[in-house]
Amino acid sequence: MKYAMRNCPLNILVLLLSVLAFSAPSLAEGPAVRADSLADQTAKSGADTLSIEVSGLVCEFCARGLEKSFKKNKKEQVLNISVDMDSSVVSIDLTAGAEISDKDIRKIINDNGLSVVKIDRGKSSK
Amino acid sequence: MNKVFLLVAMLLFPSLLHARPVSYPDGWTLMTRNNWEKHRAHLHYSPTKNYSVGVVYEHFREDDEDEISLQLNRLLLRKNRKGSQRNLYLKSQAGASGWGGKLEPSGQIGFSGDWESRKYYSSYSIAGRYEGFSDQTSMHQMMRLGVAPYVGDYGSLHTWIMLQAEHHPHEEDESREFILSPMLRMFKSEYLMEIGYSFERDFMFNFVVRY
Repeated sequence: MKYAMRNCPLNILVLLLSVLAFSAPSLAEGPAVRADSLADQTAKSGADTLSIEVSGLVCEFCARGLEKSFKKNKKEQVLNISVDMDSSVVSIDLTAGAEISDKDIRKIINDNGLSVVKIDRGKSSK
Repeated sequence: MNKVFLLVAMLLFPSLLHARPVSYPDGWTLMTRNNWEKHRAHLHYSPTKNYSVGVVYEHFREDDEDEISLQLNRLLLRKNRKGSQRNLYLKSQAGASGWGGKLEPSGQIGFSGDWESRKYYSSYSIAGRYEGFSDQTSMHQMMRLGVAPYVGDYGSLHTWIMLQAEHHPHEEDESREFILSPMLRMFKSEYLMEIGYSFERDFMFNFVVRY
């Protein structure tokens, strides 16, 4: 009894941590709706898209940094940017007629401490 | 001679701060840490991915001592893999601490390293601390192991279950020489929060915002 009372706060905390940790997946839904609607917007405009495979993309802060850098350095060219952390791919929808060179892409990503694996370019269908 | 040795030793050791000590370019980070030892607030700015400069305020609870410092951290090494990243940082801070009406120079220096994937996390840091006139030196180590119970999408809530081990060989209170703390880290977008409770029954609460 004495042991149980002494460890009561620890037990409560462990219980709380367990509940939080294992209930969190229900909160873990990415911004799929936002990405879908922006993808539709890009498709309608027929704009170019970039798919950049990146290594080292393991945390949310890294992804946020990339998003922020592209929006800051290429704000005229970037219509939308989304990150798929499962595949480590950064997708960028460009504004109509805009371009970003491979050199600039590599510079922005390297400056963020990440590495470029592959850059694919495509055109959205109208 | 002793001080030269200490300075060299401190150059080889680091400070204890578990969130990334260098942010992305043009990134600001505010970190607060509260545990059995101290309350700490740290604001830093990263002009590039390679280093950060900042200011640190610390209040040491047991000695009722306040310290304010300037901080310079440097990314020494980063290795990116498809699903993982590892880093090595040099961390330093220099300033002044005050207690009992006295003010004295103080500083910390050391290294920290981490390896993380989206599922697993590990980090280790070692720090040397020096307080000038009282000629106090101490060394601190910390290790963390973590696992994510699920892998969250970008923009979602990320959760880590972690175990933190601290080693303070110069701590006067023997019960605080080695401290194990189960903890929970949660972060979403720019915000990161950590709560823990040590086997010595001390609470820990850390909060980080990066913008």
